[in-house]
Amino acid sequence: MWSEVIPMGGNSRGPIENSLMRRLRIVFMAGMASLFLGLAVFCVGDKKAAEICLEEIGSVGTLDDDLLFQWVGVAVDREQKLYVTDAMDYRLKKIDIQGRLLNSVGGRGRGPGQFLAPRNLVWFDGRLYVSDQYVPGLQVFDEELRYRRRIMFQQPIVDFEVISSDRVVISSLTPNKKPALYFLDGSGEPKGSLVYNDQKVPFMQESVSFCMDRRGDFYLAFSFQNRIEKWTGDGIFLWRRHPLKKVKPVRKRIGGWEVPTEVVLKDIALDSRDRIFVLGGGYSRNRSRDIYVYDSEGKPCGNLLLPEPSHCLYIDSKNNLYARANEGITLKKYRIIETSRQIGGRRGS
Amino acid sequence: MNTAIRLKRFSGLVIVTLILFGVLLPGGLNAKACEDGFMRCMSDPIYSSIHVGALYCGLGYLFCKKYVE
Repeated sequence: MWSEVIPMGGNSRGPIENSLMRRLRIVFMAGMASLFLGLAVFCVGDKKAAEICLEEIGSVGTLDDDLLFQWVGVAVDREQKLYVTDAMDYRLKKIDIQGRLLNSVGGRGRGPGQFLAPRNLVWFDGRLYVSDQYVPGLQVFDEELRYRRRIMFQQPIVDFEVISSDRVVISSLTPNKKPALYFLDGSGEPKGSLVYNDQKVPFMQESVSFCMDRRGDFYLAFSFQNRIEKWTGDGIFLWRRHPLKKVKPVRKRIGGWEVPTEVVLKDIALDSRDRIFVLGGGYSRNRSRDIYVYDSEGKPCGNLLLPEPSHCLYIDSKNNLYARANEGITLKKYRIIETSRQIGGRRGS
Repeated sequence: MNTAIRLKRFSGLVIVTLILFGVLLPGGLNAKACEDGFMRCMSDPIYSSIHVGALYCGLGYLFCKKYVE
């Protein structure tokens, strides 16, 4: 009983002092307990989360340098070089693992190699594909950041994946149409679609981030709904899950349009074992920090917690997870750890 | 005794103030920023006059909601 321990030299303090000391001890113990719990939750937020956790292994961009201002998209090549789109200075940047800027291209404009609002970024087979919020289509660059070509697409691009050098898949905002992923060839010609809802839906209601596995199956995370789905590339529905409990997304009228007020699921990524990582948004217990993990059959594998809110997730070929910190000035790199291995003294990547 | 009660009341007040400023206020301000931006975009004649323009306003709203909040 720590409260009954009498200091060496006897109890020379009065009853008020003793009472104060006791209270101070309680406050101190409570503080230590909450600090411990706060640290532990990073890995073991609940029973399920004991299976996997994150360990920070790298960070680029600080408040004191001018490497990143407001990064948006990230991709990693085979040599672990980072490529980042930065919205604040309209540039595409190539950075090494030590955080040194290797190359940078862009500038404000609509011309080849320029950006108005650079967004998503995909590295595929030595090429970088970049979307822009205000300029239609995708720009393609080589690894030296030389502009190569543009893939035309007139609708705004929410998310995209690259299947081959001549085939991309795009999700878009399409009111008054059935929500779909659009397959395009290298020149932007439509080559089919995957309709994931047979009904026309309200504006932005069916907006999705998505990713694709090695078999060509698609995983969709609905931005404004509590829903993830798996579809085959041929358009066959496989399964649906609801990562959050009791979510009723709210819509409200702004400027004549009824729009959703909160993002439910922000992004989705796959690791090399085809586990699905879904970043929660405004309805999650920890806003923009909770990650829900599933296996390829939709079985929950646990939750992860990012130390800081992020707008996106990216997982490279070595199972390192990248997310935002410092409101876009810093890019953090984490190793995804199997905690069962950690207990045995071996840490897997 | 009076000091202890005062201390307790003061700490209660501090906690309530911190909750108000630390949790509620930033969320409210951020949410308003995205909605204001969407409203401005939709009332811009360049964007509102064409159907695709409205879609680009929607994309901006979605991005703002993802990035800022």
